[in-house]
Amino acid sequence: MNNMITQTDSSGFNRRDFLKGSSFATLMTMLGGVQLFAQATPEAPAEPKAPPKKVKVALIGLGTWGREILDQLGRMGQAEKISVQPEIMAICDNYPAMVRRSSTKAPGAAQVEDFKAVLDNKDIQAVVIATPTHLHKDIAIAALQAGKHVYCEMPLAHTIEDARAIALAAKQAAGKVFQSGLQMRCDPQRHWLMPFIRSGALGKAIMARAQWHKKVSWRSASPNAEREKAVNWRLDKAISLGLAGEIGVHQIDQAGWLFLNAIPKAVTGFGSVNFWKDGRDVADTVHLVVEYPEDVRLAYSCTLASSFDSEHELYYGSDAATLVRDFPTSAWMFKEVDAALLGWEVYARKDTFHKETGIALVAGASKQTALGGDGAATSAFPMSPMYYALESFLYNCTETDAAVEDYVSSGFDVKNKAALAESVAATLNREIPSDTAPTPRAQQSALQNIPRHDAGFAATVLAIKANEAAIRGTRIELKKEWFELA
Amino acid sequence: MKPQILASLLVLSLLFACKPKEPAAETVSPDAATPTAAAPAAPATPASEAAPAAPAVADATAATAPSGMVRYDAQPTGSKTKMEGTSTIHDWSMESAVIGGFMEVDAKFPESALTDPAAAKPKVELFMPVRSFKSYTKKMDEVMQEHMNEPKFKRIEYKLTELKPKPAAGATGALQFEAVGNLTISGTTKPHTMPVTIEKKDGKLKVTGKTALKMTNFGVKPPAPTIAGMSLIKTGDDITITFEWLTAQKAQ
Repeated sequence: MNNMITQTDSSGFNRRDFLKGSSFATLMTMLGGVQLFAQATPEAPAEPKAPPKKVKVALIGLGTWGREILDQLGRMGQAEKISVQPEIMAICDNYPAMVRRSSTKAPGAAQVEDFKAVLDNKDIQAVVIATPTHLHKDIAIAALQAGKHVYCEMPLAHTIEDARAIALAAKQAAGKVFQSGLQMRCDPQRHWLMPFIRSGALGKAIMARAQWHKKVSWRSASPNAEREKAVNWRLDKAISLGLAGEIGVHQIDQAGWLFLNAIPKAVTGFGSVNFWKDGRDVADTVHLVVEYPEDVRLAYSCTLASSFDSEHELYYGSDAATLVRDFPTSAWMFKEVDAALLGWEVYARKDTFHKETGIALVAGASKQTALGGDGAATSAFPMSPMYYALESFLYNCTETDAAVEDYVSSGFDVKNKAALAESVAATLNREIPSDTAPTPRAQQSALQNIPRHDAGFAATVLAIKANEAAIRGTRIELKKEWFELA
Repeated sequence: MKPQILASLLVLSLLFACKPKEPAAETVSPDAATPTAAAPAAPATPASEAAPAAPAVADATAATAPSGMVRYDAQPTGSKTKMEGTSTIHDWSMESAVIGGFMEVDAKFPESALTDPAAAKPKVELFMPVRSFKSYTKKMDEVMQEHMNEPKFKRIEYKLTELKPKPAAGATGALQFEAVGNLTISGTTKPHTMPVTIEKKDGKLKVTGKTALKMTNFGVKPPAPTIAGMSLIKTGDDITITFEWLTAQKAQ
């Protein structure tokens, strides 16, 4: 956020910032980035632009994560250079106190307790579902049937059957957007990293390591016993996917999506209550080993009992390792001494990690920024992955609605679902010419930017099996058919 | 990683406009001026009822053909338009998969058009929603729509006046014609001529064609977007449109 404020506050501009900013943008463009921060570059007067399109959206589920989503939606509503903005029509939670507590974040929104009332409101185009995992299914399917675009948090569900039901409903909802809450897949910094990794800059893929370490209990107190049980759903073995599923789902997905472009073959897990011995039977410390093709393995640790080194991922190749961490996402490369010189890294900013030198991999980095002395990791994409995920979602809602409208106004039969789906896909899934430099997906115009029902389903199946392996302390071979939808 | 240079660009912009290579006539034909008058006002399909204020051409979409004529309606899938142009950084292209409209032709069309002057003047109207043209970046899509003055002019429209056959009578299969008609882009209508190929197969008519146009001919200013850190990106005035339009008789 600080970066963002610095970049956009033109009133505080000085000569040094000006020089830095303009070359920064130039280099960024050369690196295959995009359009960045045009507003911070005085030489480029803003073109007169149409006002942002509005998407009428409702948020269902106002727990910790739901309120975080509400914050991001509010931030988007205030952003200047944005083509789509949310109009928060309703906030909904079955616990009235939560609705009241959240109302200050969305002053104009209707305060609703029953999600069916949200779905009955014909004005609402899109819903974001952030309820406890086991409650997603009924809401998501009803929302799709009510003709809403749906953003569903991950994991999609706590059982494979429920996840499949959601994914199938999404697949059949022609002309509607269904986005799975794998927000890391929408992070422009990761989109920038992907072609770098896939180009072989790390050498042969060797292994991966990832962690999520926090010191939090996961338990909330409530004066009301029923509410206490409801709010502590993560500690209820019958409905919780535990650390492996609720948390691991995102980082495990990254190893397959960002690093390896592969589907895992097996998962082994261990879990135990090492610290929060308050009678819980959901592990507070979990280890997983996820096996991918070609003997590449991800070692993952997740704990609620130590916060050391927070959350990050490490991808090891024979020529270099890459560390990805923090929000906004930052990344560094650590080269082997025998690896070939790539060239650009000579100019890149270096950060020291104990005795290792990390070469900063920053979407939008430049020589000037690197040597500028302020040491900040200047990313052109300073917001959290959740922000970009919601931005992609809203953009795709407007694009999809436009495509459906064009289909209908061209005289085509809206009841012909297959043709409608094909037409919308043909309009929005524009293939990127192969000779085009990588463009951060958040800047692209197509639906392929987003993790849809299929990605969400596969990641959910993996999360469920990882949790199962951790509970049983065993190795589970992942069968192909578990990942198949129909 | 090699710095991927300028090509990357993102953001470019575009857009189009056009001009007939050989302007057929300065005056618009009376036929073209009264486009929908001949189309019986048949009840609209559910689809067009739902359509928001569709421009005039759409009124014809659900009509039935006059007796003796066969009506082919645009199909929801199977059509494609590609628009290609140049800029000071690299060539660009945009694609659309939506072409609406209809053809009213005699039963022996297109062969009949080779010999019968009346059959060579079928009623043909088609259109493409401007915003259905997509590049692969948001910015480029936005710039294009801005320069095309979308949403004021939501469609590129075309109305055929006449087909001038190229092959001799008796030819079959994919037949080539010179299509003479009127093209409307961004609210400006100009007479227009282009070569087209028409093929009848399994109760469907497929029309393919290619035409070169100039943006400025239709009052569209070639975009020259200002992009931070880059200067002098200008799109060329000339663009090429290639299309493939699939129409079919209504299933009985």
